[in-house]
Amino acid sequence: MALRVGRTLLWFGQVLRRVSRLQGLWSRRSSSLLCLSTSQDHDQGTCYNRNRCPKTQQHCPYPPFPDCCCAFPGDKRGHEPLSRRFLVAMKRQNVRTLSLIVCTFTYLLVGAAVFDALESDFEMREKEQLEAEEKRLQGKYNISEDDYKKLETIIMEAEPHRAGVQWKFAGSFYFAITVITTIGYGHAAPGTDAGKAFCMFYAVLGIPLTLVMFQSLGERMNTFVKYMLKRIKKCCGMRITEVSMENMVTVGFFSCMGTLCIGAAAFSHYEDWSFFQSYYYCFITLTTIGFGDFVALQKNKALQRKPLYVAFSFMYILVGLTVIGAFLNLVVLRFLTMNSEDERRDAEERASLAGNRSSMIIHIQEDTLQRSRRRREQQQQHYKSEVTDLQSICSCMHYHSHEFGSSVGLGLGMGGGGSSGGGVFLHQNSFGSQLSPHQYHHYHSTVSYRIEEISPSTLKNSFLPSPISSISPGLHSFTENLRLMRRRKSI
Amino acid sequence: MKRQNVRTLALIICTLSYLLIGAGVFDVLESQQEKSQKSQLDYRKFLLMLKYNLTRLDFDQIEKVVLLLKPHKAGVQWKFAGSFYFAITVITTIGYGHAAPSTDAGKAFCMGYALLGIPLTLVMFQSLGERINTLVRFLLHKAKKCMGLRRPEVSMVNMVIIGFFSCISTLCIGAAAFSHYEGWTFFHAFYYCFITLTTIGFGDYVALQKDNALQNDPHYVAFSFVYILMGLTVIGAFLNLVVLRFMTMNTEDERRDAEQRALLSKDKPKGLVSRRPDPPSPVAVGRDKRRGLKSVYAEVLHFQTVCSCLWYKRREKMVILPQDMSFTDALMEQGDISPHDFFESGPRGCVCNPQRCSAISTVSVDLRNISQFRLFSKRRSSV
Repeated sequence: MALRVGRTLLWFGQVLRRVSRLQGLWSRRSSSLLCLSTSQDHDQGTCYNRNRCPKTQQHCPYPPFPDCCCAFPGDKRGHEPLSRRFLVAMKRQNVRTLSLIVCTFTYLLVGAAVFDALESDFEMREKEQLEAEEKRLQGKYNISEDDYKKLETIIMEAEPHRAGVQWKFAGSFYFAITVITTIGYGHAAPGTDAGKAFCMFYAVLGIPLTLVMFQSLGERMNTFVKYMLKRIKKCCGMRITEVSMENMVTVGFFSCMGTLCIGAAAFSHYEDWSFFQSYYYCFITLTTIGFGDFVALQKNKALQRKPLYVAFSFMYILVGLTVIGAFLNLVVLRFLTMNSEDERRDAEERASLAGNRSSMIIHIQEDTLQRSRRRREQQQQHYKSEVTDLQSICSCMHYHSHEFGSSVGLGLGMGGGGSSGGGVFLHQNSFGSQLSPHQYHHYHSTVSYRIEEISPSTLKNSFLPSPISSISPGLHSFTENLRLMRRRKSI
Repeated sequence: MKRQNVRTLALIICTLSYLLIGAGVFDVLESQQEKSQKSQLDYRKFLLMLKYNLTRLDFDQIEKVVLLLKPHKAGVQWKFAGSFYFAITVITTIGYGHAAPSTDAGKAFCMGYALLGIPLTLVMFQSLGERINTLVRFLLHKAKKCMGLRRPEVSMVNMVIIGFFSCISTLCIGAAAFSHYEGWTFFHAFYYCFITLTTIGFGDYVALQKDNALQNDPHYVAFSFVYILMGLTVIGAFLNLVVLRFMTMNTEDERRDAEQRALLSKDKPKGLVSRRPDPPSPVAVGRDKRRGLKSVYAEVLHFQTVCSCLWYKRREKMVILPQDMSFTDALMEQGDISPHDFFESGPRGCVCNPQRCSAISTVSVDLRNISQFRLFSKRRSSV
C-alpha cells in the first residue's frame, strides 16, 4: 500500500516537474488536463469564478483555467481515484487470466475423471480379450515369438498402406488440409525426414493463413446471415427488425448442427459407419481435434478411385470449418481480444494522464470582448496551435452530437456560468433558464470547450467517452467503449 | 464493405493455392518413399506368410488383432493419468488418437467435453499469452532503460523477435527432453514437439507411450503435461502478438462501416452548410431569453460541421483565418450571431471553407478515414 502511494506521489511529482518545465501552451494543456481530471470529482459549479479559487480564495496562477487552482498544484486527492481506477483496471486482466487458468485445470481434472470412469473398464476387458485372441492365433499358426514380433512390426508399419496410396496428389492434398487446418489425423504422416521438415515449414506459414482465412470468411458469412435475417424479419412484418445477438447465436448453432448432421449422413453412407460414428467423426474433424480413429477416404482406395467423393470430402471439411469458424467468430473471438483491449485502454489512460502532446484536453476559454486586443493576439498564437487539439474536441463533439442529441450542445460547456456537475452533459436544465442576454453574448464570445476526462467508472454510469488521449485512439476507444457496451447486448 | 470482401476472397485464393502447392510438394517428397516402403513391407509379409502357410484370411485376422492391440501395447491408456493426457489432447485440439474413446458413452462425452473445453482453452491461452506479452514488454522496457538506450520504447519488431526465439527455444528444450526420455533422435523429437504445439497432433510420435510410462514414471508424466501446456501458452502468446489482430480485421472494418452508415443516415436531414459572404450586424442583445434549446442545438450541429471541417483542413494546412463562420439561416436571420464575435476574440473558432466541406456526411467520412488511417498506422507501428 505504501508502495502504491509512494509510486503515485513519485509519478505525480514527475508530472509536476514536466509541467513546470514546459512553456506556455504545453504546460497549460497538461495542467488543464490534470485540472480536468481532478475537477471531475469536484462540483464543477464551485470552481468557476474566474481567477479565484473558491476553495482557497487564492489567485489562480492560470487565469484561463480557474478550476485548476482547486486541484493544482498539490492536490493529490484528485489523482488517487484515477490511479486507483488504473490499478483496478490492471488487476482485471490478471484476475481474468488467473480465473481462466483455474477453470481450465479444473475442467481437465473433471474430464480426466469422467473419461477414466467411462473407458477404463472397457479398456481392461478389451485388452484381455485381444490378448487371448492373439495367443490363440499365435498358437494356431505356430508362430514363434521373434517372428510374431516381426509380423507385428510389419503390420503396424503397413497400416497406412492398407487404406491405399496416401501420397499421390489426392492423398497429399488431403494431408495438406489436415496440416494447415491442424486437424492432423495421422492416417498418413511424412515418412522421410525431408517430408517432416517441409511439413513443419508448411505448417508455420499455413496455420496462421488458414486461421485468418476462416475467421475472415466466417465474419463475412455472419454479416450475410445478419443481412438476410433482417430482410426476413422485415418481410415477415415484425416490429423489431434488428438482428440481436441471440438471433445470430441461434442461427449459428443450428447451422453448426446442420453441418454436422449432413456430414454424418453422407459419411455413414459412403464409409459404412453408423450415424453416430459418422457424427463423431464429423465433430472430431470440424473441431480440428482429428484423432484419426475414424478417417474418411480410407476405404476401397477411395482417394484414387472416387474423385467425386474425394472432392465432396474436401469441400465438406473446408466448408464445415468455415461454419464452425463463423460461429467461433461470433461467440468466442471477442473474448480472445479482451485482455488486449483492456490493456490498450489502460495505456491510453496512462498516456492521457501523462499529459501527452497528443492529449486533447484543451481548455480554451477566452474572456469577453472587453479584453485587450493584445492579449487576444497573444492567445491567438496559442490558439493557432491549440486548434490542432481542437480537432480532438471536434471529433468528440462530433460523436457526442450524433449519439446524444440535444444534450450535446449544452454539454459543450458553453457559457460562463452554465456548466455544472462533473460530467459533460448535465447542463440541460441550467442552460435555458439561466441565460441572460449578457450571458448569451458572453457565450458567443467565450466559447470554452471543456472536454472532461472521463474515467471508465463513470463510463458505466453515463455514456461518456473514455479518456481521450489522442484523436484516433480517443475516437477508437470511445467507439470501443460504446461497442463494448453495445457488444454485450446486440451486434 | 468492399475491402472486407476483397480481403476474404484474397485469403481464400491464397489458402487454396497454398494447399495445392503443399500437395504437390508432399507428393514429390513422399510418393517415392511410400511406394518403396510398401513393396518392402509386402515382400516381408509375403515371406512370413509363406513360412507359416498363412492364407489371406488368416493374415487379415492377425492384422486386425494386432492393430486393435496397438494402443494397449503402449500401456494402460484410460487410468487417471492416461485420461488426463487424453483430456489435454481433446481440449487443446491436439488429438493424437493414440487413445480414442471406444465406448459410445465415451464418444458422446468426448463431444460434449470438447464443445465446452475448446473455447475455454482458446480464451485461456490467449489471455495468458497476452499477459506474458505484457510482462515481456515491461521487462524489455526496463532492460532498455537500464542499458541506457536512447529510445526505451519496445517496438513490435522487438516483441516479434523475442516471441520467435522463445518459441524456438521451447521447441528445442522439448526436443532435447523427449529425445532423451523416448529414445527418439533430436530431429524426430523436435518434429514431435512442433506437431504437438501447433496442435496438429498426428499421433505418429506420441510421448508417454513407452515402457508404460503413464503408470510408472510420474515425474516424466508431469513434465510432459506441463511442457505441453506451457509450450501451447508460448505459441499462444506469439499468435496473440502476430495473428490475432488479423483475425479481428473484418469485424472492425464492419463496425466502422456501420458507424459511418449510422452517422450518414443521421446527418441527412441537416443539409448543407451555407456560406455567408457578408458579415451580418452585431449581436442583438435582447433575443437570448427567447432562444430555446433548439437553436443552440442547431448551432452546435453546424459547429460540429465546422469543427469536422477543421479537422479535415488540419490535414492539409493549418491556417487560421478570420473568415466568415457558417451558421444556420435561422440564426443569421435573427441576427443573433455575428461571426465577428468569433474572429474578434481570436481564431479559436473553427474555420471552414464550405466548398471543401460541403456536407457533414462527407466530413464524417473523412473523419472516419483519418481516424481509421491513424488507427491503422498506429496499429502497425506500435504494440
